[in-house]
Amino acid sequence: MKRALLLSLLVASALGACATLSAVVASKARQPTIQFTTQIAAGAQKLFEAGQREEARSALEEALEIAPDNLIVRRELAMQLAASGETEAAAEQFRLVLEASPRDAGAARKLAEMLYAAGDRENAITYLRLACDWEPGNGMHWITLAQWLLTMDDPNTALGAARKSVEMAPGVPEAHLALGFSLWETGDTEGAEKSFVDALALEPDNASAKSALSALRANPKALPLSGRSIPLESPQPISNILESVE
Amino acid sequence: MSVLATALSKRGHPEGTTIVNTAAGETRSAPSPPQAILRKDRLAAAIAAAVVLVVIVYVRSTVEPAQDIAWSYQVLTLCLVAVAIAGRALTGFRPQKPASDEPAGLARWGWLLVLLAASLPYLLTLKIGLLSDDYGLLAAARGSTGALQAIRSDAFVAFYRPVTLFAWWLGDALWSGSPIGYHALSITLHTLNSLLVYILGRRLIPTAYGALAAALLFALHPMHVESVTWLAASSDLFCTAFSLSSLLLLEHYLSTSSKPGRLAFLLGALLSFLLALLSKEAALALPGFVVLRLALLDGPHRARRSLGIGGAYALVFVGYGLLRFLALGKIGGYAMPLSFWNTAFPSAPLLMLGDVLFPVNRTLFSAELHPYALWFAVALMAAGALWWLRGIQHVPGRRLWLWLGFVFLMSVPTWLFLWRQSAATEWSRFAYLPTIGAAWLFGDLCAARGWRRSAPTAAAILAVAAALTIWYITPWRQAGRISSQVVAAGVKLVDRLSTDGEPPVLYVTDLPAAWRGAQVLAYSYPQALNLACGRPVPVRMVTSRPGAGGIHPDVMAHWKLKPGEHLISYDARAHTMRIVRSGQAAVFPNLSPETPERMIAEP
Repeated sequence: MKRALLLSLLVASALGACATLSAVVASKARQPTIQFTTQIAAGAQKLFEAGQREEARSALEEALEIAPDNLIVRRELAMQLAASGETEAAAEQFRLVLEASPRDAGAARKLAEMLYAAGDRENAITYLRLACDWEPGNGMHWITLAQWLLTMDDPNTALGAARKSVEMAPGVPEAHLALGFSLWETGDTEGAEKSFVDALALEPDNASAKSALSALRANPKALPLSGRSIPLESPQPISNILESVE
Repeated sequence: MSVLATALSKRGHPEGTTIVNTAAGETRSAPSPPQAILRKDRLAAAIAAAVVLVVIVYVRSTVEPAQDIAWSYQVLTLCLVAVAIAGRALTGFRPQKPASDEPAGLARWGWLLVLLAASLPYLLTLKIGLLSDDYGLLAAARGSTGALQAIRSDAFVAFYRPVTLFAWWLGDALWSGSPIGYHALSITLHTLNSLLVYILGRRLIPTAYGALAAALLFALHPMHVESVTWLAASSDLFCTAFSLSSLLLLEHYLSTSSKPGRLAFLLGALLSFLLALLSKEAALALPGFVVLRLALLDGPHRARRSLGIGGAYALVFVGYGLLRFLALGKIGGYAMPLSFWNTAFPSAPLLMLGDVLFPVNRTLFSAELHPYALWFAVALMAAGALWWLRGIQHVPGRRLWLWLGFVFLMSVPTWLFLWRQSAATEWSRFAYLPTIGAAWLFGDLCAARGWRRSAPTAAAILAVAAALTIWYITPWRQAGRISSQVVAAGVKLVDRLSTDGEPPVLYVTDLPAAWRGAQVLAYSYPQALNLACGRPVPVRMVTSRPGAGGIHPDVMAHWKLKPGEHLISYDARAHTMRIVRSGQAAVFPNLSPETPERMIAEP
């Protein structure tokens, strides 16, 4: 009896291991290897850069038919759609990326941008807030959030985001601009002036800061309607800067 | 369960005969059970173990370790544990004659062999210099006005390790913070730990040869390279030294008859345990091992004594917890959500045992040797592992569970981290203390087989271990070179970019974190530059790592540098630092007639 029990335990363990193996192999089969996906994404990127956008898109879509869970390929497709101006399709792809990879601040940020461009500002702000929560050290999220909240006539909330943006990105003029406009809208003109001066100290040629400061000094009681849209490009990876310098 | 419990306790043999063995190893063996049954059972156990092992090796080596299959390691580990328990219960304990064939000189000169084995290979590390977190620790020690302030510094961020901080302060006071002095201290501590493994082994393993084999494996094992070579990991060395001292004093307590002597030994053991905890949290589970050790002893009042001494250890543990809370204002540690699937339980102890048997530094193998060399090495190690597995049947059950219990319990603090780490990587320091259990098991295997039968194989295993250790030290030496070059290049930049004696503001990106598994610099560059320049230099790191206090790369892409500010990065080809961009002198625009002068002055 004892031997039978122990032998059963041995057999059960071996079967359990085999069952686990099957599950893992099935999971692996659903997700092609990193090399394969990297090759497809890199190839599609080259095609896109060479102007062959349709070919690039077809390659990525074919790859996704084989491996729908592949995030590298899906992210690349989403980026290409966004760059082509197909905001709705890009937003859908970013949404799928986010579903498969929760707490992906980059995807949340891009999805927010797509929604904002498509006019769905409330949802855009919701996703941008998620990006801020997931990656609080990235001041660019806070700057954009402050900007968007200003356009949504919510200067008090924007002020909090703008303060955070200055804390995280004190060397970025747009952070000081966002703080300046938030302070101006909440009635703190002195603080606003100082923020615009700070922005100009960082970038003396900054047109937004120049015009905002002039407008503020000309008429401190006027609301800065014209200054709400702060020109700000999407965040670039640091490698781009290095390449441009070299 | 009762069947398993009986089998595990080793009081009942599968075939009904009785074997009594003490923790010290004396055995009274009964007649062996019929060979035919044993052979069949052994075959079944071997087949099941082979199936599970093949699956584990396949999954670990070919499937990308991803979060969604992390659960599979836990399930596979449980399968392996089940096979091991059932296999051992089926095959049972097969005692061999107590070995008495070892050379007489071994008992007398064993300590000298251990001393040489533990210290000689690591003489190669003396000139490595400071790496990574070492700079922060030395800066904290140097910035303190005295020992009391030094042990209160926050150099370990979320951890409370005053003993290690005190050692850094003392080193700065005694040898002016020279890295050679700290490396010599680490080598001394490793040698001391190896000697303690030997001395304790003499008490726990039946023969001097067995104790010597255990200590030599511990001294020479390649998994310990990171702990001995990287100065910031010296907390592991201190923690192990005090943990082993505590166990040794406990053994003296158990073998002493006079009451004052016993009290002194017990107090000494508790104090050592406290010091171990104040060195590193790795000693947290020592009370568990103490209870296990006492529970496996023979004699009356076993349970009462286990609970009594275990309770005393638990009191020290609670006192340490309060002290830590008062010092840190929180419990501290890495903030990670705890659940079954995101811990390494029960994989951690088995991973460690696996790494003891297969200490493969894949990065180093693939970078420096032909691909087939890895397979050759694995085959060689597999032969050694087979020798271990075959020998386990000769080790008495109580000692077997004692050694495995040590590995299991002492790896508890690492369960959050180790689920996919392997030997000789940047996490192998976590295995320094737990692997002592594996070393004792190796010693016991040697003792059970006897000198004549096992010495050649044991010597071959130790020789391979020594060769790997020496090889695994080489990337650390290269890491030391890179670290010193990068710091020297930074000092040159600071000198060149200083204006009127004012140092420049540096933003630093793309620093080498590691070289083939060896720590290089990572986030310690600001402290390194401050130390090397002998004055404060404003340095900020560009990193997306949360909590590192740096600037996010996305933010840096938009960052406007002011005059005197520079973004610098690591040039991997020349192992030096280069300027990526610098802030230009601003020409302030004339905005309106009444304001410009004031605006220029204000920022």
